[in-house]
Amino acid sequence: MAPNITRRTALLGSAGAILLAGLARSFAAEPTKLKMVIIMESSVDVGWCSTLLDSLNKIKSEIAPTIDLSWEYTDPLWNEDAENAMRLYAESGEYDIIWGHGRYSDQIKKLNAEFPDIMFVVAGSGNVPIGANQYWLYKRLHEPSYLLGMLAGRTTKSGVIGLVGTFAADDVNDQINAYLEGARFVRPDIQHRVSFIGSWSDNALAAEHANVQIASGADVVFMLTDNFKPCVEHNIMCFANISDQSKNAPTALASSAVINWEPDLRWLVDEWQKHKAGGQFSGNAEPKWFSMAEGGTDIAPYHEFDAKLPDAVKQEIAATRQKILSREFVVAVNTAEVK
Amino acid sequence: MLELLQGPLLISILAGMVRIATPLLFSAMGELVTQRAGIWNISVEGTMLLGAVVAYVVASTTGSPWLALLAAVLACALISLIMSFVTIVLKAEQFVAGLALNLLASGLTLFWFQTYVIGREPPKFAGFDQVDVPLLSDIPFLGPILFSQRLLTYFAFLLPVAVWFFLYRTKYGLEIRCVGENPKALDVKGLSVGWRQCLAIMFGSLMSGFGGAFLMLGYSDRFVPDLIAGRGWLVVVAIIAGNWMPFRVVGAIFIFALLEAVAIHAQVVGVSIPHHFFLILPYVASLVLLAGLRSRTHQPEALGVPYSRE
Repeated sequence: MAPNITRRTALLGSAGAILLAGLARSFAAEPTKLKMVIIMESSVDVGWCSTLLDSLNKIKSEIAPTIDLSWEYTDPLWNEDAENAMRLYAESGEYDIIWGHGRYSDQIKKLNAEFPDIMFVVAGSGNVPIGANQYWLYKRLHEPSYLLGMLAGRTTKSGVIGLVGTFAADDVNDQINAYLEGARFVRPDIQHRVSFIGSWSDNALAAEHANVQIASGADVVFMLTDNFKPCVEHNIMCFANISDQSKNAPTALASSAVINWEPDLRWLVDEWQKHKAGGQFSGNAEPKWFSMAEGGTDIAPYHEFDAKLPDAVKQEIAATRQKILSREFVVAVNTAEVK
Repeated sequence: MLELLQGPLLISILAGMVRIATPLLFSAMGELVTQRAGIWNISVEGTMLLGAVVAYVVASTTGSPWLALLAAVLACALISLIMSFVTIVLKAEQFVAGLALNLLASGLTLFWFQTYVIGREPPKFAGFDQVDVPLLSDIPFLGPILFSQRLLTYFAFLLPVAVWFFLYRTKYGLEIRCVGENPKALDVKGLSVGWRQCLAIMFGSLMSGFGGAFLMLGYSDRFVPDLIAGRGWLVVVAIIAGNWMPFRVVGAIFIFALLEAVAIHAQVVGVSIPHHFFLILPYVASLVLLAGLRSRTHQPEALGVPYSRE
């Protein structure tokens, strides 16, 4: 057979084969476009929002071979403004996922049936299960909070530890209880001061609460509110939550209980792909949260405190962290309000 | 509950009261002068917020809290010109103008802040630290309450005396009160009503700038859009509850501040009353004060009435 093929035919055949292979390859490699818009509950410098954007950037490169992920986000919007924005985004037909980064299920309830091919996402407490095309993400920071409690228990000199909370909400109480449990585990006689400012962002009031806790003996304070000025002024060790906030008060913040959205994003992308492949959305009826072992949370590095904290304490925390990661040790979720 | 009366906690409560009262005193004294000049300027909340964001931007840019304070009060004085133009020149409804200015300030501050921090970590800044007055801060009991505060607090506590002196012991103070009671009388004498109202509005805004800047530089390590958290509205309530009299307004502010300090301490030491009860105490007190002290009103006669020469 071969002697019958002319040089010209062979060349043309080869070129055609290369072209076809290239085309086939380019079709196979074309990633599916996934576009989302995020309705922000607060400004993007706040940990709750900035951590999501950080995770999106990480996930984008991770899934790049198969999914071309892009996103936009809004200024803080609530109530009717949020609903109107969601409707406009949905009607534009440009977005595959509309993400309300906070308490938005009331708004989504009015839209989700009308736009069955759009995945709606809500995050955090205060939402209600809708199912169908609403997916409800949750964050539980009880595991890293337990570790911070151990650190507080080991380092307090007065035997009194404090905690300034926002509201006595389900996903605040779990952190408080775990923090106290961790502290009691290493120091059973520990005393605590817990108070709630009744606001998400009243910095001045948070500072007053911290001042009072310090005045009443607390020498380690877990600030679930974002203001570390009292810790710096009184030269006491503090902890933060949601994101690694060491840069805000490097001399006072020993560590933070941090959230990662990567596992949440992976799960949502999988769910979206199933729908895209012809399946139905099956939004979760119960809030979905990812544990520390699954990569949903962790404790931040000690930064400047790495040199200040005793090695034995750091090793004990690291060992417990490993046990949590290997599921050898389970921190219970306790959402009861601490009195 | 009795444990709150023990020495260290009592000192802590009273010191907390002084801190909490400081920004309220600034804004209230300014707003009092404005209202005594017959202008219902309810934009205290928004003006304080503006002061706070300007203080933040300047402090984080220059590193100087004093420069930040100066910029904050100047910015607030500047924005008062809008209120003056709308209420004095255009003679618009003062209440609506105040509400509009609050909304404008709220939107502007969020926009400025986001433009300032976009794509980067919010810059850090140095605020005002607590200053222990030599010798005086060592006085038992009173020392930590009165003489271990921030410098601006001492200024805030002198302010009511200065405002009282101005309003009741100076010719210009008398003219301001006259503008609020009977502007026509002043006009007949050939004195400008509008000019005095404009200055009173400017003074009020400037003082609100002090209040907002204090919350930013004295209390916080970052700017948040909800930093003022209703304190501007509480100031307006305090003026009504204080019946437009300087020292009664101070009294109302101290009641609010004391209740808030008690509420925080009660929560922290674990008084067996639900903490929600303590959180609402200052607001309940304001309603009680409003209801109880309004029988003999000293509200300026021409308050909220745009003046027109007939």
